[in-house]
Amino acid sequence: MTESIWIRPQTEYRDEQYFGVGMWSRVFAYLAIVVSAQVLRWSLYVSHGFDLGFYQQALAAWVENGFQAQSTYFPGGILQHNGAWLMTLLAYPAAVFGTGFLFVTESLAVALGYIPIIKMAKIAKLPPSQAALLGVLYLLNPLVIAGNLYDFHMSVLAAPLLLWGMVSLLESKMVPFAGFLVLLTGMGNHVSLAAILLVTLALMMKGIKPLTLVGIVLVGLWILVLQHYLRTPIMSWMFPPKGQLQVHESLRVLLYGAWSVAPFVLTLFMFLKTRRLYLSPYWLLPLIGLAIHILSASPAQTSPFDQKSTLLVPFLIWPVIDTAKHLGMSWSKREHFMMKLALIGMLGVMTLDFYHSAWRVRPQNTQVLTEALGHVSNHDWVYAQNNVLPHLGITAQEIPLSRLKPKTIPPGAEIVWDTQFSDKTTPAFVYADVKNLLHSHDVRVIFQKSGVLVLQLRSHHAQNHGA
Amino acid sequence: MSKSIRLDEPSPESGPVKIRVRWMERWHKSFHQLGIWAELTRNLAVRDVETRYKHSMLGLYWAIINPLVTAAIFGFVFGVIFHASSKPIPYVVFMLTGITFWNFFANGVMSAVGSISGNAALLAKIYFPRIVLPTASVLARFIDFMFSLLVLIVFIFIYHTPIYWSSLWIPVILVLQVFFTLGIGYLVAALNVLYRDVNQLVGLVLLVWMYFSPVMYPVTHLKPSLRSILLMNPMGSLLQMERDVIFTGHLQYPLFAWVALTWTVFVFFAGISLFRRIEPLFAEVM
Repeated sequence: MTESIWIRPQTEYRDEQYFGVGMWSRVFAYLAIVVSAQVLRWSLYVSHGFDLGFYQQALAAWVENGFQAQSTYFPGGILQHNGAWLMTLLAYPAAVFGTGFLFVTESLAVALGYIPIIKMAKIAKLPPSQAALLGVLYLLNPLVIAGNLYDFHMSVLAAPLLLWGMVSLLESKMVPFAGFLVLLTGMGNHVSLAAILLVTLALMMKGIKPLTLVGIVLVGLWILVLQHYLRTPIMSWMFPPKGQLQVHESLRVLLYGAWSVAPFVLTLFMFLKTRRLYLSPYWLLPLIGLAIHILSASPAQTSPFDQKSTLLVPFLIWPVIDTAKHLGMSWSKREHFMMKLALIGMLGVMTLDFYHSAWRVRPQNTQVLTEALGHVSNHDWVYAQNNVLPHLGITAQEIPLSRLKPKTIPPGAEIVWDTQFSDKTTPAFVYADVKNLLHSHDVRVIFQKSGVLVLQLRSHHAQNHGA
Repeated sequence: MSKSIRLDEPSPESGPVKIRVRWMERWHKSFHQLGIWAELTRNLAVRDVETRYKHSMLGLYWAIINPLVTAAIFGFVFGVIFHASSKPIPYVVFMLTGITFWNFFANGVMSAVGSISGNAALLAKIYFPRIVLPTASVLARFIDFMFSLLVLIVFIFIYHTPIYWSSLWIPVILVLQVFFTLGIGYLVAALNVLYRDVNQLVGLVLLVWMYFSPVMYPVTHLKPSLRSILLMNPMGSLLQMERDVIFTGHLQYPLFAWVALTWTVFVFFAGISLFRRIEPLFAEVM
């Protein structure tokens, strides 16, 4: 007699379902779309580009003058300004491959953050579909895209490292955890808060263990190096100065908070349909980060499009994974569809917002600006507005127009000025100074068309002022 | 009672060394397998070219005649009737360069479309990875392209057009173009098995695509905004790069090379991904 046996189907997913070609196509889709948007914005002079200009100059200056190179953007040495020691590795390839290399490096790094998310979801035993959705939640997140769409920032490159750090934490692997923490410090002083939050996460998850202690020691050492060796003003970024809170902007701050957390809360609601309640303790970490950001006295730091906000995303992703792990439920197809729709809608709203953003008005003189740059010499110092700076390429010879001081302009320096356009960061008195220069005999007009001017200072200008 | 043994359970003596050996074996096996499929792909590509020209009177000359006639027609219409200019490069050479590189892409995609649906008998008899078929089709068109390239070189010399040493970068750009063509080829080949309209649609799409790519006109004189949009198209960017390295000695729009690179990688992976997803349905549909 044959005996029939019912074997309970075991839902075990293969690695291929998580890390197959599908995963790579999503990573490269993000890369292709974001790089195209970056290049298109760059070619239309829409990019704000102040930080991109700074990094371009920093990399070129390192190649030319070594690590003691100075910047015209901020006083002091470049490393003293931001402490991003890993940036030095980019210097030579960037000098060879140009601005596009920086765009691709940034977008590729962000896109590769998708892999540790999938890995974390797999460790939490979430099905591949949920893992993919969490990955898309990261890639399409406004805080992630805003961080790398306009500019280049080393701090954005820290997001995937944070995620890998979380993976090694989940796997209790001390050496990789310490390695990722060290690499994280290489992204500059702006990631210090994220590094502290990562170590706090380790404390919450593992308690006092060798892994946590190593993390605490490493972060402590890094803060000491920043404070005493590089003398970077780290605390002003991490904690808002007293008595200068932007309370009058409370509505914007609230909207920012809601904007940042909304997609994660939305994901959470999907799980809460079980009528079981699980409040992950890990929500605490992003909320601390968010509070510090939005209460900061620095307007740039409170902006929802500030690159430092990107680092909050890994800490927002983790509580969602933790909730899913605890409630262990699956989404229906309809819920999946709604979730994707919400994410795409979020991206659409963000795009519209970017388009209408007054801060990044598109100049009308694109063609003339291109012509004007054809008349700019590669050997002299060039002053330019923020949106034009990235077009000067990887060069040490650039100075933001906002930093122009008539008495210190080097002889032979050139000024590119689009009179029809304001980059919103160059103060009015600088424009007044340039107008005065224009009416003096110290400048020569090299190019003039449709309101775009290229001026060159005669070599005796500096001696006149010096005298 | 004896304890049940699971075959996938590691044996007590298995350690890191054993695991490493197993990994090495797997890699070795994979490379060996890849070598076999690569040989099959090459044989299929050569067979494709042979059967295409074997029984025709002009044989391989067709690979040369096609781009020549196309360039002559477009050259006459745009160069003589519409006085299109591509200074300092003679328009015929400019046009022939565009047509040669574009034709490789267009012909590659067109022959990949029917590569699965047209080989139903072969698929029913032997097992091999189905992706070999569109790959072989694209490679076959690459062989045709090499003959067209000879024609282009002859024309460059006839018109005394100066070329630069940077032309040596052409193989690198061609690698990108091959991968981009393969990606699109996988995509359309798989979709054509499910929907036979794809075959017709691809022809139309390629026609529109050609006019949106700088095959017959230079982008240098266009408005920057329009030029940027045209170069966002990966094929447009690749064609521009190919012309630039041959005739100007440097990339005029280097930033768009990154756009082409990222889209190529994405299209290639997306093509494989979609192909693998649809592959199990081939047997049911065909």
